[in-house]
Amino acid sequence: MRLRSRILAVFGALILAGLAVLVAIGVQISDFWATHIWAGGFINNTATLTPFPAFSRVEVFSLDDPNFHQTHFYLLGSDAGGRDLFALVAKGSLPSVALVAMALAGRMVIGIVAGFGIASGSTLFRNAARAAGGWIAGFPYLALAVLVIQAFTGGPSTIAQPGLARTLAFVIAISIVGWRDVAEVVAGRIEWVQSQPFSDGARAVGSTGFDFFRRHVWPYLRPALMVELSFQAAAVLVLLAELGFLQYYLGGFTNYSEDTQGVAGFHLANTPELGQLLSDVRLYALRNQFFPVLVPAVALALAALAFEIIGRAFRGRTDLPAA
Amino acid sequence: MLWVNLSLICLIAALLVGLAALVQPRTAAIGRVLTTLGLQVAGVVVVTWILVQRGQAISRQLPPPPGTETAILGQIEAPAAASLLLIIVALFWGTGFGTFAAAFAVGAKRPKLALLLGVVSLVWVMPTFLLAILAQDLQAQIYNWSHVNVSGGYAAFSAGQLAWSAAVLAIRPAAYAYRQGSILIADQSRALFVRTALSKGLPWGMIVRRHIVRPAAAGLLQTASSSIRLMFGSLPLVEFFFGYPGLGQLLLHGLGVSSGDSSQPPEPGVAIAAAVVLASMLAVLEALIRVLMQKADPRIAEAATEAAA
Repeated sequence: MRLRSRILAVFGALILAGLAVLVAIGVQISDFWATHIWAGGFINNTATLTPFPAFSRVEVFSLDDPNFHQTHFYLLGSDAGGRDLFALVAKGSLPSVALVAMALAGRMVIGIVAGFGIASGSTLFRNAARAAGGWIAGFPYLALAVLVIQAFTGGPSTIAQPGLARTLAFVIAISIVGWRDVAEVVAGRIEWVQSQPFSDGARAVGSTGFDFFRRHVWPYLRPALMVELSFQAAAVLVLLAELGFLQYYLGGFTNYSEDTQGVAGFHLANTPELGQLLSDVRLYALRNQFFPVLVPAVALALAALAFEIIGRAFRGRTDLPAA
Repeated sequence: MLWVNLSLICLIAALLVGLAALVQPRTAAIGRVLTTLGLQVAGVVVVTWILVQRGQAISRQLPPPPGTETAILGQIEAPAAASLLLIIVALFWGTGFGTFAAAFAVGAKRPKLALLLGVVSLVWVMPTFLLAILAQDLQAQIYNWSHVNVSGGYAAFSAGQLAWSAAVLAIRPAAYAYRQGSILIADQSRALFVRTALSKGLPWGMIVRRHIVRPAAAGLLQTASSSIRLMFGSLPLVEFFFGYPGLGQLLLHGLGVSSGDSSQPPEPGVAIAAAVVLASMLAVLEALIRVLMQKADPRIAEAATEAAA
């Protein structure tokens, strides 16, 4: 493994490890600071409205009962409801990681099955897989994901706490969007192996079926799949963030409006989830309040960056020898 | 029934073109591309219709009143033109720039520049809305500094808004085109005929143009196709963020996604039409690229003919 690849791989792994440590620390913060809504607070005896800035110790007062005061240190600031962003992002990343893992598994399974079909299945299956791939490619990916989620849930996220159907819709939508790339990689590898002289030799000595796959296909397929898995993880994370921005996310929310002028209210997550935390991006951006946007977005982008770097580090190793 | 009929028309047209291509072997290459295009559009229409209908059924929305579908054409005409213009501008700024940068990085023979561009291309993993926020902040900084509003307004078509939307839309495809293009060009630059050309004393610029970029043209076009797909994917998000009156925003509004406090009533017909026109634009551009690839590398057309036979 070349030095450059090694440095890249270590760098990617370090980013992931750093994020994991931050999540582990963040989830230790009491749920109270990730769910209770605060109307405002005092920083150095100066009244301050939410969102609170980063690295600030704030004496907050509750929205329900202004006489209920607490003091809290906000490491990364707060959202519009005065909830600790560090705790929100850490706790929100757990369901998001679970969703990403399920969607990624779905993508890989569909892609591998379709790839096998394209490379070694019957003509009918090959044509069907290619045609389905063509249709998927014909759709803009975000539009397709939104349409699939809509087909299962009926619309963008609502104030109601969603059920299993919503999670399933996300897994299906994200799986359907990206399987074609995986299928192309799998089909390409299998077709390459089948065209090699060692493959003919193996068949000549009677190697077929699973034995042929295990001995001759899998050693070439595994590294390519690992690289593809890394790239797909980055793509799924970015897609999750973009869906959140478009109001498609897992959790329910509490509508929190600052005034009665008909201005859109903030959607404060009932149970934190990263996509949901990004659904108010436009509102925060319009108010020039960038921290509540940047913290979850950068967390997602860093995770995607780490997977991308790891993928790039290993990509050169998995290139097929020239024919 | 409009959408089912439309899908059937596309399907029949695709089959007729396919038959014509079989009768006239000289037009077989183009015929295959057009047949694929027809089948793709037919599939997109049916799948979109099914998905939207299912969504409507789940949310228990009343079906639209009769005659609504006939007015859709008027509703999507202007947004389609606006989106097409946005795509064309972003195509030159994004895919064009990324591919050119990849060729330039190899041609300039400056490893530091290549490394810098490689690091910059990691912007590909940033969600598009983050880039849009940065663009919006840049607009504010320019205003604070010069007191000139360069944003081009909001939710209305203007040159300024087109430029900002296209710039944001172009960033990730440019990074993708650079990333893939630089790999292709670097691989090509290690070919034996490039070494031969170098040993014969040909100038490096000519080697890059004639012996590196030209043989890699088909691969670069394939990369451009993927980059365009990425661009179309982000289109609804960019249009929604900037309030650009295009098909992406129309699609989201049609599905009930609202940017304000008031909820947006879904318009299934508009949503289907917007998705279908958007997907058709993408399919046509990809078909065009497939034709260009066959021109750039005739082996692709020959391989397709052999596979069909």
